[in-house]
Amino acid sequence: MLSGKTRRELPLYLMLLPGLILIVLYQYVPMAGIAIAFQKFTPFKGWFGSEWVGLDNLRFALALPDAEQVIWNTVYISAMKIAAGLVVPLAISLLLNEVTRTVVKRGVQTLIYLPHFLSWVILGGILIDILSPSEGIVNQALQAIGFKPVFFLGDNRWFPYVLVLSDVWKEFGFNTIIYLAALTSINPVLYEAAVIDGASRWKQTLHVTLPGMLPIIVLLATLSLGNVLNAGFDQVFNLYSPVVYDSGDILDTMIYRVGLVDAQYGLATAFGLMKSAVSFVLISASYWLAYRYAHYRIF
Amino acid sequence: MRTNTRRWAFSLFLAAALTTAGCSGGNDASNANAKSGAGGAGSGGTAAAQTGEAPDPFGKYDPAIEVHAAKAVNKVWKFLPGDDIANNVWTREYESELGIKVAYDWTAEAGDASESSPYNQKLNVSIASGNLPDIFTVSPTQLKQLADAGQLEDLTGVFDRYAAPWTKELMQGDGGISMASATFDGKLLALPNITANIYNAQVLWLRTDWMEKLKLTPPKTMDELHAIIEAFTTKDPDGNGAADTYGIALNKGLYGAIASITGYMNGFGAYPGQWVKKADGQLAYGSTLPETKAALAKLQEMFKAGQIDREFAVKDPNKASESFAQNKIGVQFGENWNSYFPLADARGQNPGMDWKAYAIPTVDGSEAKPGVPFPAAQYTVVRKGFKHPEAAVKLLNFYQEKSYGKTRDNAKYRSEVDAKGEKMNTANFPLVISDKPNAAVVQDIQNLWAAIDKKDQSLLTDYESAYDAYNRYAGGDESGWADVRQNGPQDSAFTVLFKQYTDDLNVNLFGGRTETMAGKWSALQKLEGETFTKIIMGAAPIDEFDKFVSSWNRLGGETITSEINEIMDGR
Repeated sequence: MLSGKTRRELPLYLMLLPGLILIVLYQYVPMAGIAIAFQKFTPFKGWFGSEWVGLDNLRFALALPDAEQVIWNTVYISAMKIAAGLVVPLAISLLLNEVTRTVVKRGVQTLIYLPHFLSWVILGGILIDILSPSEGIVNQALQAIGFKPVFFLGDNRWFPYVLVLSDVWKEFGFNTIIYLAALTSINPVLYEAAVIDGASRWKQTLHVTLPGMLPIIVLLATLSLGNVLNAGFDQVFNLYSPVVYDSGDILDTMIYRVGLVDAQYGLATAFGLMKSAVSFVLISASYWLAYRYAHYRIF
Repeated sequence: MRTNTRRWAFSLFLAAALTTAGCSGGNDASNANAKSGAGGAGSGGTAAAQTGEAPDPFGKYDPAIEVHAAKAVNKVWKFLPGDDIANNVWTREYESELGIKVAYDWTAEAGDASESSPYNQKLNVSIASGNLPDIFTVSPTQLKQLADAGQLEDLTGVFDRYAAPWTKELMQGDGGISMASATFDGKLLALPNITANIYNAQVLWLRTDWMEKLKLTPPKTMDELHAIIEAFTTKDPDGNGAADTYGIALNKGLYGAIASITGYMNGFGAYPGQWVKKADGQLAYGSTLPETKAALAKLQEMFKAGQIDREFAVKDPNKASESFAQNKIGVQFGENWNSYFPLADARGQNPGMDWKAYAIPTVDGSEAKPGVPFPAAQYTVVRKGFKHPEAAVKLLNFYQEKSYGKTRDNAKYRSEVDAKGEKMNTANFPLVISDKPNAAVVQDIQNLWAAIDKKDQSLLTDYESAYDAYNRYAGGDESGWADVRQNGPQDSAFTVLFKQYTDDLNVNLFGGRTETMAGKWSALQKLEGETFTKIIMGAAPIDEFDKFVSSWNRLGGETITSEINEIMDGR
C-alpha cells in the first residue's frame, strides 16, 4: 500500500509523465544515432547492418587537409561572437535604461530587435549589396572620407570580422531585452539608498546595477560558452565563397559538404559528436567556474 | 475527495493524450520500416510456358507472364486517385497490350541517383545476397559488378530479334556509345537509359543590341571574343556615360548553367569537372590539364583589366543574374534555356535589350566541341536465368513507341491530369525507360523548323508549345521571345546546338562514383574552387595551378583517377 504522502503526490507525478515520455522519446532515443559516428554507415543497412569502424571516422575527419584551419576558424569566429554578443547588449541595455522617455526607449528597443527576425538567406543578399566594393553604401561612405574601397566579403583579412559584426547587429536587440528585464528586477530601494549616500549615476551603475545583473550575465555567458564550436552555419553558408574558405570555412559548413553533399553520414556524425563533446566539457567547466566565483547555480 | 478524483482523471487524461500523440509518431515510423523491409523475397517468376511465337516486337503473351521487378521511385511523384507505382496507366497497358504483369518486389527512393542513394544501396544488398529481381535498373558501377559476376542475361539475341525498328534507331541515336557501354566482351548485357546530352552543351550568349551599337560582329575565335568583352567594358555600350559595365559574367561556383566558365574553357579545349581521354588513351580529370591553366590565365588577365565583375566571387547564379537586368553584362556562357531565365526577366525590365546565342568560339577559329555528360547514367538489366529476357525489350519498344513513336499520346502516357486539374508526370512510371538520343532531338528540331517554314503544324514531332510561341512572336507578341531565342529557326540556341551536333561533342566519360571519391571528393572540389577563384581574382599567381595539380593528386585524385581507369578498361 502506498504511503499517504506518495498517494497525494501521485497525480502530480502522473502529470509529469507525458513531459518525461516526450523528452525520452525525442531527446534520448535519437541519441542512439550516435552509433553512426562509429560506423561506416549506409542508410539501408541501418545501425545493425552497418560495419563498425571504431574511431576511424574521427581519425579521418581530423586528417582531412583543412581540419586544423577549419577548427581554428570556428573557434576564432565564435569566440569573438560570444564576447561581442555579451558586451554589446549589456552596454546598450545600460544606456537604454538611462533613457527616461518611454517612447524613445520602446522605439529603440523595437528597432534593434527587428533584424533578429530576418533569415540569413535574405540578409545574405542584402549584405552582398551594401558591402559591395563598387556600389555598396558602406564603401561609398569609406571612399567619401578618403579610404580605398574594401571587398569585405571577398577578403580573408576582413571576412571573419564581417561575420562577427553582422551577427552582433542581427542579434544584439534580442539579448538587450533579456538584460533590460534583469534590470527591472533590481530593487529600487538600493538606488534610493545609493542616492542618499551621494552616489553619482556612474557609481550607481557600477555598484548597484552591475552586481544586480551579475547572475544573468553569468548565466548567459555560461550558456554561450557551449556554443564555442557553433560559429553560425546559416550565416557563413550564405555569405562565404571559395575565396574566403581560408578564413571563413567552419566546422558546420565542412560537415555539410562532407556529410550531406558527399553522403558520408558516419563522418558527419563523428564531427557532430566531437562538437557536442567539446561543448559538454566547456559548459561543465564554465558552470563550475560560475559557481566557484559568482556563487551562481543554474540547476 | 471529489477534487482529488477530478485531478486524477485530468492528469490521466493529459498523460494518455500526450503519450498517444508521442507513440503514434513512433508507430508510423516502425510501420514504414516494416513496409520497406518487406518484399525482396521470391524472384523466380511464374513459369508461364514460353510460347514459340514469331518475333513480334509488340506481341502479346498469352497467358500473361509475370515479371518481378525493382524500381527507383520518388516520394514527390503524384498518382491518380487509387493508382500507385504498381498500378498506373503504364502497368495496366503492359498487361492489356503486352500480356506482361509487373510485380514490384520492392521499390526505394531514387535519391540523387548516386551510389549511396537508397535505391542503389538496397540493390547492392540484393546483389550481395544473390536475390535479384527479373528486370531492374542499375548504375554503371553495379552494371560492371554484375557483368563481371556473370549474373546478367545476354540480351544480344533478343534485342536483335525483338527490338522494333524505331527502338533500334533511338538506341543507336547517340552514335552507339551508350550501347557500347552496355556491351561486355561482345555481349549486350543491358539496355542503356539514354538521354539527349546535347541539351547540356553550353552556348555563348551575347547582348546583340550592344553589339549593333558598337558595330561588332559575332566572334569566331577567342581573340575576337576578348575584343568584344573589352569593348563592352570600355566603350560604354549602355550609353550612360559611366564606366559601369563588365564584359563577361561569372558566378561564385564557377560552373553551372548560368554565367559559367565551362563554355569559356571549352573554347580553349579545356574541360574542367569532366573526365576526358588523354592522348595516351588514359582518362584524366579535365580540371588538372594544361588547357585549363591557359584558360585560367586569360580569365585572370580579364579580371585585372576590369572585364569581370570584381564581386563575382560572392554571387551565386541568381545574384549574378541580377547584373543582366542592371545593364552591366553583355557576355555570358550558359545553357540553351537561359533565354527563359535569366535573360527574359532582364529583358522584361529593359525594353530594347536583346540576346542571341552563338557557338562557342575557339582559339584557332575551328568548331568548338562543347563538353557534355555521358548520355546514359543508368541501365536496365535482366537477371541471368529469367525465362523471358525479350520482355525487357518489348517493354522498351512499348515505352518508345507510346512516348515518341507514331502512336505517341502525351496526354495518356506522359502527363495525366486528375479531377482537380493537377498535372502528373506519368512518364516516370514505366519499368523500362530510354529517352530520345541526340539524333532524335535534332530530328524534332528540324521538324519544328519545317513546320514553321511551311506553316504546317502536322509536321511537328515535339515542341508543340514552341511552335505556338513562334507564331505569337512573329505576330508581334513579345511573350514568345524566350522560346524563339531558344528554339527558333534563326539565331537561336538550338541552331547552334544543331550545328555542333554534326561535329562530335566532348563527352564526359565517367559519371559514377568510386570508392575513394566517397570520402575525399568534397575536399578536392573545395581545393579546386578555392584555387581557381583565387587565380582568376589575381589573389594567387597562375603558377598556383601547378601546385593545385600536385596537391590534388596527393590528396586522393591520383587514386581516384586510377580507379576510374580500371573501371573504364572493363568497358
